[in-house]
Amino acid sequence: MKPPRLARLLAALLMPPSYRDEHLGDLSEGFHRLLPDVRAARRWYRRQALASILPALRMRGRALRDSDPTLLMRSLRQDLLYGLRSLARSRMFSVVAVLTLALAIGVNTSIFSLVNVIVFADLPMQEVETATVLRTRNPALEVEQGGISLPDFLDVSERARSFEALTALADDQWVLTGADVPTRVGGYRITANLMEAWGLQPLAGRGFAAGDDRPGAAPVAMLSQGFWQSQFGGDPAILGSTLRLDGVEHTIVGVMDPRIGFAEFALAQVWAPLPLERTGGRRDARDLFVVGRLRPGVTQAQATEEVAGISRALQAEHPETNAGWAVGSSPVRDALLDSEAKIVLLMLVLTVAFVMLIACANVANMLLARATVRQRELAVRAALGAQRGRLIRQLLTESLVLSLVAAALGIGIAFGLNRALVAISRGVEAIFRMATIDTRVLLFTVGVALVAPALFGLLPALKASRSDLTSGLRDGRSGGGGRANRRARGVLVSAQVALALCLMVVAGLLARTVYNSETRVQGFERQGLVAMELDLPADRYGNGEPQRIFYREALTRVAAIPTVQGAALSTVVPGVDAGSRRGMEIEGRTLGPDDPRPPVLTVTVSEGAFDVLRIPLERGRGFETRDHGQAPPVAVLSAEVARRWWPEGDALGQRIRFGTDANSPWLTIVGIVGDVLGPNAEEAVAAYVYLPFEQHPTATARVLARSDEPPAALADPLRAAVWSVDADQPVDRIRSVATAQYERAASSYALITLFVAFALFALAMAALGIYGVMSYMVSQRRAEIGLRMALGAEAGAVHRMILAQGGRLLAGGLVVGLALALMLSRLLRSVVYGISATDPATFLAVPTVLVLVAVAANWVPAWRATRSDPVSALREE
Amino acid sequence: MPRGDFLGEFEQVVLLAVARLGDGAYGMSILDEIRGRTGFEPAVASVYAALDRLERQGLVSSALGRPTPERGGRAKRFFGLTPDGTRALVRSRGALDALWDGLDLEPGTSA
Repeated sequence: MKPPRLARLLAALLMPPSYRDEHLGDLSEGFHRLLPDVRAARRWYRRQALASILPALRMRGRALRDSDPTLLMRSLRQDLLYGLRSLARSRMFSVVAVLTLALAIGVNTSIFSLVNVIVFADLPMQEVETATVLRTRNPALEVEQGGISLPDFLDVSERARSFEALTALADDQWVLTGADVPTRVGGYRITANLMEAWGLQPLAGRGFAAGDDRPGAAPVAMLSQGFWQSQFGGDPAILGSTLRLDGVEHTIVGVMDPRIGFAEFALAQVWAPLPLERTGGRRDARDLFVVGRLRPGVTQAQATEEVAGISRALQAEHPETNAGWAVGSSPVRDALLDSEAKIVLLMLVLTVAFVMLIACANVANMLLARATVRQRELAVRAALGAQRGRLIRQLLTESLVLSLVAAALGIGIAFGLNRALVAISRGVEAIFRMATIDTRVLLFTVGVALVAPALFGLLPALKASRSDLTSGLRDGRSGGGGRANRRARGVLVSAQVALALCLMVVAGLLARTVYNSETRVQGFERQGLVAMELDLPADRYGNGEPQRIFYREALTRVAAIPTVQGAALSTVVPGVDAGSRRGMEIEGRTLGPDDPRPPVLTVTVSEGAFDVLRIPLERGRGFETRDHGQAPPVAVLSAEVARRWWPEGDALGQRIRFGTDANSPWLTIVGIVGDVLGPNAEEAVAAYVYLPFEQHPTATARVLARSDEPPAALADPLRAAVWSVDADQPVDRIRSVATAQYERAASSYALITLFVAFALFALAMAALGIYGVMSYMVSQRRAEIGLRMALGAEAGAVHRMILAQGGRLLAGGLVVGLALALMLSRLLRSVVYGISATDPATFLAVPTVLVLVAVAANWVPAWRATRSDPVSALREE
Repeated sequence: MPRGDFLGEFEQVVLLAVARLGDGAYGMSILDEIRGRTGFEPAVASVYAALDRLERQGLVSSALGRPTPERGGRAKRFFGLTPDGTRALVRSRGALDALWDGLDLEPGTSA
């Protein structure tokens, strides 16, 4: 009969170490005296344990008061020096342990620096608690974080009572002339109240005044701090002078508060007022980013409710543009990420936490193995009078040293990793760019480094320090803690296998998603295609004929470059740009009141674009010279659109139209071309409707040139061709279509690199763990194996015995890991495309790879066991 | 005699029990002695707390004995009075006796 466990634990924990054993001994003696009466004995024991609380605390307090404060420091110093010496002695162990931990701490630091950007972001809105972001959602079109149109913004501003101010901004770009070469400058148009509502102050000069955003106001602009420095050397005298943007002189009134420099805002060069013009603003042009400042006393929930009501009213008032588009208000931090990005971030955090656990399990395992080796050393120290607590403290100090050294390395690793992420993502992803190792991140790293030793060092320290004195002294190798150690190490290895399996499944699913997206049928010939982006300024080209003339001429000049085999115009580079999302009206078909119009993406292309892109014509014809501005309007469908909305195959000759008013012209379908891939990984092919450029001239287009020359060699001739038409026209990015497609998906490549690297790390750790435990097991059983061999056991039988033992560890890990991975895959459902989140191939392949690697790691010690000379193994005993 | 040199009541009880037990004074035996003589059973931990303080004051000394099976393999800590401890006990008794001299109190009466 044993004393009640909880009470015993309580008493053991409470008493100062100097009286712990004798106190427990007394309690045990008293318990045994009462024993035949179990209930009385237990009651007495419990009462004693409870009554020990106050005296024990009193004794601890007294000990603390009387203790020499320098004693603790002295013994810590002693432990540190001893720890360093003992780590230096086993260099191999130290290096592997430190590297393992450094990698894990490094990736955790790196991912935390990403989380840091989001969760603790230094947002441009001051007093962010009373700021809200207004965004649109359209579940049918899968838009989760859409912008708001100017008319909707004005309506919400008029009706909503929850806000002290509603502000809006939209990105814009201008051609800056008057300096040496025409350059494009980027920036934002903002409402005049924005700076005040966001709590920003101009760095110099003034912000925009109340009337500056009224239509017809004198043009003014503000400079970003960076642009002010680079363009004007930070000269304050520049205030009051003018900047020619798109041919219009803008008076420079001030320099923007650099605190606005969050994410994409940091790239802005120029800030201009957003003209609040009710007429002409299209209700379906949702391009405003709207931020509200709550009135004092109004809660986020109240604002959300009011905006939802206004949104319903707007949907009812303007069904043709607003049906299905809900405006919502949410706290700024919630609006930073869409749900997909949140899942990815959560996965990253979970993954690195797993990586940390795996690394800790591995180091714990190595420490347990070392504890067996060090048993004699510890036993000697205990025999010389070292208390158990002192030994534990010593061992934990060693772990702490490992962890701190690893953390220092880990910070370097995190720094490198962050740089690598920016490089792989080609600087496209703002979060990667913004991630820095700041004080908060450093504190996190130090925190991890301080907590980690408790994870990987405590169990080994407890086990090692408990070794039985006499047996430890008698035999350094197969001491008392052996069996318990083996079990603990087995559990750790199984846990590692389970975690590694999870990470590999996650990485496998994501990698397959990216692979699927990469291997989508392009539908056009990407090789040898170079894209150049052009955007004609409105002041010189306006809409219509001048745009036609410019692009016609530019195309002719580009096609005349000797190394160019063909040139065409398109508003979309396949697999990169989306095209305009619009609802299509089909002549002769009526929709139910709640049915949305068939959603398609429109692309404007020049005559001959299908030939240059090498998109096959399936039926009818492509665009020809006869489809000019005055000719009957025509359209060409992608096969996907034809299939989907004319399943009978009768699309040719039918008429469709876009736009909301009854006067929109009908377009006759004259041809059907092959499908090309969509811009997003989740769509195999894009639902494109092609329109002829001559009938729908635009300011922005991509010139696509087919050539065998590399893009770098084409850049100068291309620019020269454009400048020969208009010397003031800036030319934007010139890059191969392949590069453009890479950059489009660069963030996912960076993420996938992370996940795969984590999974490989986990796999290596699990293999190392199995190898370590099985080698140790074999070394422990050398004599037995030698005996078996000497008695004639076949090597095969011994192999099988050892492999079976390793297999048990593996099997346990696999079962737990698969269960965990299935749970995780539910989270991944919305970010995995093209395959199911429980993709059988992944769920079969990953465990197979894991088993193969594990068996290989297990086989080495098995093989070694039967190679050793049985006689020498027996003699050692 | 300066203030603070008097022993607390519980300290006196514990010291007297240790004195009565001679060589055999350890946690449980002290507890038994106190309970046997006074009918009051303190917590073992309280006894240790008192002994801990007394040992710091140099009034008792202690040494570990041998582990025994009924104690779960744990050793006993034996306590003994130091000459200072004996002096302190005697002095406390003297002080109390002097104060009691001539008083005749019965519970329920007031002085």
